[in-house]
Amino acid sequence: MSPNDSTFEQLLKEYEGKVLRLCYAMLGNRAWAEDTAQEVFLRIWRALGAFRGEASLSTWVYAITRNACLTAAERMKTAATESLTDPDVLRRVQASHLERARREPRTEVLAWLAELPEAPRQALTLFYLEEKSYKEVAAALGAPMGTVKTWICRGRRALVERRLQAEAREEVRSGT
Amino acid sequence: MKCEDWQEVMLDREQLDPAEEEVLSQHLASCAGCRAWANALAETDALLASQLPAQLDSAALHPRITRALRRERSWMIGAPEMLEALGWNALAVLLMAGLLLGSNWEGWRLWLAAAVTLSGSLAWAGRVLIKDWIIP
Repeated sequence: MSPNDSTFEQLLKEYEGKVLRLCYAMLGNRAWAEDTAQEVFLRIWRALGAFRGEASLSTWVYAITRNACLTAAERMKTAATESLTDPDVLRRVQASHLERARREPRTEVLAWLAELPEAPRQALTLFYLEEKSYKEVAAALGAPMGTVKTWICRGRRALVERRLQAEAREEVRSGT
Repeated sequence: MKCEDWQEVMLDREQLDPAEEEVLSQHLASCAGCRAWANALAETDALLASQLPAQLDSAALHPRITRALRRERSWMIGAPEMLEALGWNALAVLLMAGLLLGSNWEGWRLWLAAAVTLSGSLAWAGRVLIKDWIIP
């Protein structure tokens, strides 16, 4: 094993979880997040020899991850547009959503999270995945800590309000 | 302070010192609206903290990356040698063609020169990649 291999192996162990979580936060889809995380590590492996340590390793890894996610997000959009023009695919997607909603009623909070604007959604997802560390979220998203705090507060407030509205609707329904 | 301000405080509750926490608790004891808000926040927090990590399995990622890397390496290791062999073979064929054409190759000269340069470059690139490739 060359020094490059052992460095990469170490880096993989340290960052695989963080990269996957950032990919999931940015893309909001597990399958796409896994594919993109794999792509990120291939990019890292190809570029590791050129890493000169001008930025910290985590900054470099997160920058590669964010770039890969932006590319993946574009591909996701294209794939979704193409799929939705196919009535068979559309029917299958609707059926699977109905089935999932029937089996997992508690995932409504994840559905509300998915409906938030991009920045609060990404920050909030990472916030819960990174054990509520503002510092870690700010580093991963490459955004200032104050901005990240604002996104997270806005996102949590929106989710709480969605929850209270849902509870109020439920009370009205059960009362009638 | 209005209820909206208390809710803002609750969003950053971990940062409160004991005295501030005490004041917040007193408000919560007297305000049903903020109490409901605090409960909803706690439940949302708990749900997301338990449901989001369950969406991901980073343990499955490691072998997947290792496999992808092995595929990439086998391709990358083979590529320079293939390039070099292709370049040298093309160069030999072109030189033979030049010899066979003999004196009737006036019109082919430019084409042959370009093709010889190209195949020579391929062979050279392959050699350089073999020597200097990041993979030993």
